[in-house]
Amino acid sequence: MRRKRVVLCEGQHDLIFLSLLLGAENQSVVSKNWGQICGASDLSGESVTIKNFLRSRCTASYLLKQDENRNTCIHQMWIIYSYEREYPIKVVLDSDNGVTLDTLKNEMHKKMRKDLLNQESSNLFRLKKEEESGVFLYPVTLTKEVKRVTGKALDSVRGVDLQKEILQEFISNAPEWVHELRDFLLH
Amino acid sequence: MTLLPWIEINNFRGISHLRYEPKQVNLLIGRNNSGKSTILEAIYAVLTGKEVPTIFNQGRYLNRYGINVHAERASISADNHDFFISCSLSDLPADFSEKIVEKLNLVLFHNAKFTPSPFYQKKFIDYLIKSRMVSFSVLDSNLRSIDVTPYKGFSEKLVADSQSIFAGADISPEDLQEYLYQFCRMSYGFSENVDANVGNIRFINNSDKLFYQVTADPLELIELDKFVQEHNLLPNVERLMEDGVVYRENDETYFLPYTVHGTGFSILLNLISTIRQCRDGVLLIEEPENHMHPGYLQVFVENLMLLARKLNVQVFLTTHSYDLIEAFANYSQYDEEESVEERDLIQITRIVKRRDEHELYNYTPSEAFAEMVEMKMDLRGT
Repeated sequence: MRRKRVVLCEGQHDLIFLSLLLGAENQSVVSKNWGQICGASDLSGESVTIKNFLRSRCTASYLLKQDENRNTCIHQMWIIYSYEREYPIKVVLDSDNGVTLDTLKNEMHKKMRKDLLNQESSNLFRLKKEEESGVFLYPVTLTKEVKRVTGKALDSVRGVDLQKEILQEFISNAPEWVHELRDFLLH
Repeated sequence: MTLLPWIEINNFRGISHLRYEPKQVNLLIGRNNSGKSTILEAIYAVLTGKEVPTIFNQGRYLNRYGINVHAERASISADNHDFFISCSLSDLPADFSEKIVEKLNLVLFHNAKFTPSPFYQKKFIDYLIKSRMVSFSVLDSNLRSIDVTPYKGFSEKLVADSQSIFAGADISPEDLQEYLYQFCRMSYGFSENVDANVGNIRFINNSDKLFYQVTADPLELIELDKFVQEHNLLPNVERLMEDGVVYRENDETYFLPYTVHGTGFSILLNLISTIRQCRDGVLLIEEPENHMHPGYLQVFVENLMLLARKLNVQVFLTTHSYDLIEAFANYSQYDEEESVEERDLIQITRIVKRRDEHELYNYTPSEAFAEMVEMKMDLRGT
């Protein structure tokens, strides 16, 4: 049975984009946004969401988990890392011209007190003790990349179906980093 | 001031290496088999040189099963204390080796019906040590406690090898059998120890909690009585006695023995009473939440914090209880006289075993609360 994976991302667009990317590879995905996670339990929504995903009756291979914002995502990542787990964690975020990486490293040193990142490329950082886990940073932001490739502004479009169309178009004309992201998610 | 500012564990049971820096009141959480109880046992061992006592075993000395299966020697160090278990004399300091050989001689041959010649005495001791059939448990560099304990299966091997050990010795077969029998019966408790003067060290495990003996000390009874009345643990209580509780209802009194009261009530009394006995010492408790309603847990935490400060008791608890973690995380009493916030005395430590290594993640109560509530992660682990 294929090993389950948990993916953290920060926004609704990321959820749709990553679902489409994985769906194109015939991967089964369950997506949870922040509201759904908080609603899962008053006090331990993250734990409940992950545990339900890990149960055998959930046949999906990927849990796409939208954390509230970048800072929450990073904070959650290091908390989850510090638990004993049987699944890899993959985090996908906007790079925001280096701001995200700085925040990631600051939190890492504060919480873990050691350097756990191995830089594999300008976008990809794997965790030293767990190579399947890591962080992928979009060049600048996802919306800017989508605008650059498709000419369409994702954040001014309302409606999930329209957003899906734009993102599907973007994937069809994907720049190189999308292939790198796909490889990271799948392996 | 705490008795143990730090403890370092090497190759003790399932823990290869771990350094732990506790505070005054310490909560250890983590999945099963993560090493929580082993840390408690290590603390008890380094302070007393002994295995944790249970109702089935009252204070045995640790033997080779205390050594990690991948190692030859276990050691536990803590501030002014050192404890180790070894199967080999070669990695012990020379003066230890000499004392252990002396001791083996004393134990083996002192009460024997016969005494083999010194040549065969030495041959036998060498055989025992080379075949690692005994393990040595030593507390402190002053050798305050030393135990020589054969492991399971020792007897059979000793008998099987006895002919070759004593080949040529002038011993009748009957005497040899008697001799081997005396040695095979050698077990725990003959060490030349002096009980380490390290204060009051108490360990309460799950079975101990259920076998509570109420104190006969009248002053202690008065304190327990006040505790029960103050927290209204039982309605209509008139007073506590040594063997039960006197109730008053409608101007009539009646007596009920402790044995007919609820388990949770007995356990709470047991825990509070035991804290009071650990002045200037260390108290180790496994899963205090068992059999206790969250309301009782709240009472337990408040009184634990009060007594730990007042009586200078360092406390270590293992738990799986969300309610207990929450009770500590919410604890916020501030002692203005001492200018120390109560929360600074509490540490919650999560133990994670990852690829045979143990990692510790320490939280203050406020950090624990944030992780549980704001970050919505169950601190006990996923």
